[in-house]
Amino acid sequence: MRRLLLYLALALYPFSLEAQTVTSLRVMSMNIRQGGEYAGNLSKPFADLINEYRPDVIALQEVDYKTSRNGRRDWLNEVAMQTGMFPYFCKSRDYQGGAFGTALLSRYPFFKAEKSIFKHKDAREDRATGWIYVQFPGGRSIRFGTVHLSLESSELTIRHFASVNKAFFAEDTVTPALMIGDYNAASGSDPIRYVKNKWQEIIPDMGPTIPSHNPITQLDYIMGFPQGHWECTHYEILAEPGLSDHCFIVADLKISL
Amino acid sequence: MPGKQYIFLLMLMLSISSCKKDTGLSGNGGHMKEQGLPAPPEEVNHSNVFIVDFFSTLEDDGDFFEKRDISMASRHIREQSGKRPLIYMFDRADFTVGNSHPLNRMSYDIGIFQFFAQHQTTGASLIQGTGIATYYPISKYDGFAGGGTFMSGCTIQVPLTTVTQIVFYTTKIETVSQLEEIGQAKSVVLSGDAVIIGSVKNDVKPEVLDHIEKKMSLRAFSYGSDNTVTDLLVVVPASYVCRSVESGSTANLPYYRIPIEKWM
Repeated sequence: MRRLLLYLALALYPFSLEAQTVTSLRVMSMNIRQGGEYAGNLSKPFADLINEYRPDVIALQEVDYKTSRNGRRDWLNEVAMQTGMFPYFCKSRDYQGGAFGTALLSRYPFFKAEKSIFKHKDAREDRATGWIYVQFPGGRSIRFGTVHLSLESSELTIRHFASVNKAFFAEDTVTPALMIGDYNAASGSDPIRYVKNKWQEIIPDMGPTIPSHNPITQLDYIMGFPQGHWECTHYEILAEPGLSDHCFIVADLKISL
Repeated sequence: MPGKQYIFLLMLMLSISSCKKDTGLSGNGGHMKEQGLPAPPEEVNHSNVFIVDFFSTLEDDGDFFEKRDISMASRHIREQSGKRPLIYMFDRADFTVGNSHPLNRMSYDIGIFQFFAQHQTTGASLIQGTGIATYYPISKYDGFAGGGTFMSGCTIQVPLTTVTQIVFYTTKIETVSQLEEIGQAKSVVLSGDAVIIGSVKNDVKPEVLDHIEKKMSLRAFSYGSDNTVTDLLVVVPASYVCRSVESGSTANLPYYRIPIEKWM
């Protein structure tokens, strides 16, 4: 019987290897600070940087939609037009006659998008987490999330991410995913340890991402699901003090699944 | 007056009972087949109908905006008056990877919300699909991709007599097996407040319409001509009906105006 099982395992081994496919992609994380105020709320400086790196998907935080401070511009759509990407804006709240929130840009079309908003009495503002489903050449679909966690206390940051997990995995626990953005928590902190219960920190010990003129703390992360299937082949931390107080992350990733 | 209300209710019930009897609403051959559905009272019609403009040549003959000006589409949308379409769809408004999709420009120019629904597997350069544009805020994007079948769209709060959240999907049907995948993935959503407006290949149309009505328990309508490669396909749940389709054009942009009525 044991011998039979051994033969069976050996016979099936090549198929299990074949079933694993690898998808390579490039992502960026961009907290643009108050709708891009360091760059005069203009879209072009950001679009130029994106075009230099040509990522497949960008997770953005602190994005304005037609606010008075950004001159009522549809900032995200402007960047989308200049980069040839598809925009998805996730409104956290109404702001200055327009809206404020997180966003995603994708080089390929997305076929599904959802968001969840975290509201809590101890949080000074509502915060939206959004995600999109994108099919890549080769046929693999990947879910990309953009997140900007609450910062009032470690406990609240953890509560916030727990609610993100709940909404994110409510209907889908299968599709591989990335959750990219500003976690408002330092490397090794309780919130990041909490996040890593479910998610893979794809670039451990990545390095500090804030403040951009002299980075000393890491607040921005790229987390992958399922754990153990993601790999980073190359990354850069882009310090652009003229664009944001956060450094941006650009990373080449691979998923084998 | 009580008497008027009674007559109104009676007419509504008659209308509903007539609709229930009708299960074979598909077919065309140049025009939509007579559906035998009596028109409801005018006030019902006005407040429970929404309109979709579907731009298409029905020929599946390449990128719609390759030889057509997107600004003419914007003009069409801006110049609507009276009961304006809720949604505008642009069949084969294809996407070239790396280039800005034409509806991004339209969205920026006229402040409209837009979505690109892909109809084929993501490739390195060109991806066929349908562009969707609406002035109504999109609350959610829904869809699925699997086995070469794509169906996606967006959810809008539609101002009917009762404000109703309706999912507007689009797809391109070339085989019956695609419908089986759609049925498996989205049968619950499709039986509620959801409509599919897309295209169906003419040579599989009879089987497709039959499958939708018998296996998916939905109403299916097609419109077009036997001479075109595809027909317009409208799929609605039992509580919705499409009574007619009008064709028109703005400059060299052919479109089909589709009024859909929620009657239950």
